Amino acid sequence: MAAVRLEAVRVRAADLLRGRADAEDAAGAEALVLDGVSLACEEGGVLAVLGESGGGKSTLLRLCNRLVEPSAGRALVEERPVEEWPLPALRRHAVLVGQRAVSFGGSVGDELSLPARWAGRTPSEESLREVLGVVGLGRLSLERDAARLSGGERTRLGLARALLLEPRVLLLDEPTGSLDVRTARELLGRLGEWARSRGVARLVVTHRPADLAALGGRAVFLLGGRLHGPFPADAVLDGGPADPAVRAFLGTLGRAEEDAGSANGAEPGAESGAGRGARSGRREGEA
Amino acid sequence: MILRLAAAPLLDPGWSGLALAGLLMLVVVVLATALGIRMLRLGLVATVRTTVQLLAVGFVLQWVFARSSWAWIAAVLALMTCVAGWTGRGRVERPLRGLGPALTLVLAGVLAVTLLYVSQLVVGARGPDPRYLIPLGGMILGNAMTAASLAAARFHDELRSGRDLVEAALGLGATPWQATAQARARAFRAALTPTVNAMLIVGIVKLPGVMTGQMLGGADPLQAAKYQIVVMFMLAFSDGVSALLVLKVLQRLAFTRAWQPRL
Repeated sequence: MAAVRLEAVRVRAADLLRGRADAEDAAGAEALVLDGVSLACEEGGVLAVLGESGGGKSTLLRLCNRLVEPSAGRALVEERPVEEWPLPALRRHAVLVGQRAVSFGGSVGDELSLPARWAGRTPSEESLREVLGVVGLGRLSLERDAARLSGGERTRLGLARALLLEPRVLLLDEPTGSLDVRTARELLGRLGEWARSRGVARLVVTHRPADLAALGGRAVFLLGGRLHGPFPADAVLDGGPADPAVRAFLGTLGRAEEDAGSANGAEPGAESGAGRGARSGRREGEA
Repeated sequence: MILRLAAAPLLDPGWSGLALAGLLMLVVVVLATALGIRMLRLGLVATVRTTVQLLAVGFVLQWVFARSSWAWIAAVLALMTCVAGWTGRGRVERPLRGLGPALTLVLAGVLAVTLLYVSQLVVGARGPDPRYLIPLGGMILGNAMTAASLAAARFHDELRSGRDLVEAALGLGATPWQATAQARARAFRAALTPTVNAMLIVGIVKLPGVMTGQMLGGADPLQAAKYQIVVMFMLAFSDGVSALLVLKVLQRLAFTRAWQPRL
């Protein structure tokens, strides 16, 4: 039984904007953001999502907890269509952690426990400490003002906040975006242990292939709105699978790494270069 | 009747008085022109508009005052409410669909409740007395419209600039009401700040309109002060309640049935 499943999902840009007050701002609304995407992630499994910037990776995650409606096809959580789930329950079952670190204000303890309080629970201090430990912030004081944390710390706090809800599916949008390669690897490793021991499925959007080593599992590529894969993470790390589109995509990442000028020979350096290259590419796309 | 207007007759400037007052306009426009400031046209338009608009209102209200019927008073107030709703919507940039009707309905509800309570119970004007209902109604509408549109504009701004925050909260299982708590609090404070500030300085920095008008009408200053207190509380109530109601409605308009943000 898949914890989360997409079946032949299509999303038109126009439908993403339907009902929005600012819809007239949109150009190219007829384009398809996702074109016939099907995937499944088992309980306790992990599926990494890679692909072009602005290529619909975040939309794919949002489909799984109904922040976005598909134009065609359907999204299922625990084999039940998302429209049939009661709403707060769905989004606590399949929790989304967005790309940008968001602060709701208050102390570290307040930040962590707010979503649980929305659900009518008051988490114990022990459980707060536990999730902080998973994201590598075990020494952080719960009384500390969360606004004073560094960018990387805030990203990890956002992840800890989601774990506290005890979700069955984690939808993570670039959880390692603001972390260096070593911290990212440690974080993904501990998160993997936490999730496997509880049978929590993970859909992880990432822009750096290096994350695949720590994530394990399988990887899919979202290229031109179409899904390629899944491929075993190992196959992607060992020079890429046979799919020519995926090879070409991994090739552009490699070139971006050279452009970034940080190919200093050592393997960790090369990995971080790939990450930075891919990210600067995305900024151009957004500008 | 708890508060009573002293009925000393106010002197009527008459049409000749109006002409003499018009001389003041002429003087200021001529002075400006003599100093090489090109304000002649604007001065003329302002003079004519003030005269025409106020005389027209005067004639209409004179007619309504002569009838003292609930139907006519309600008709005048309904027209004013529609204009207020439309004006208030115009003060919000790129508003959510449905804001105009929502604003009008909120203003209508707040006006009806506040006006009936203040005119019938606080002031003790029994029955359809346009002398109380029209001026009090106008004050309530004008202030409530400003407060409600300030709240609406700020709420739109907060949701647009804080979209990551709202989406993050929804993604963690927040209801739209929970996800917009911060935006709502900020919008409410922004809407009520002018009202509260006015309450803090009233009587010290400036004499407010109702009090001034009553003293011109020959009322005892202490009685005029009591009236002004009633008015200030009345406006604080109608501003606060209309801001809250508009925020409550907006938070429904701002999300789909599946709790997806529209801003």
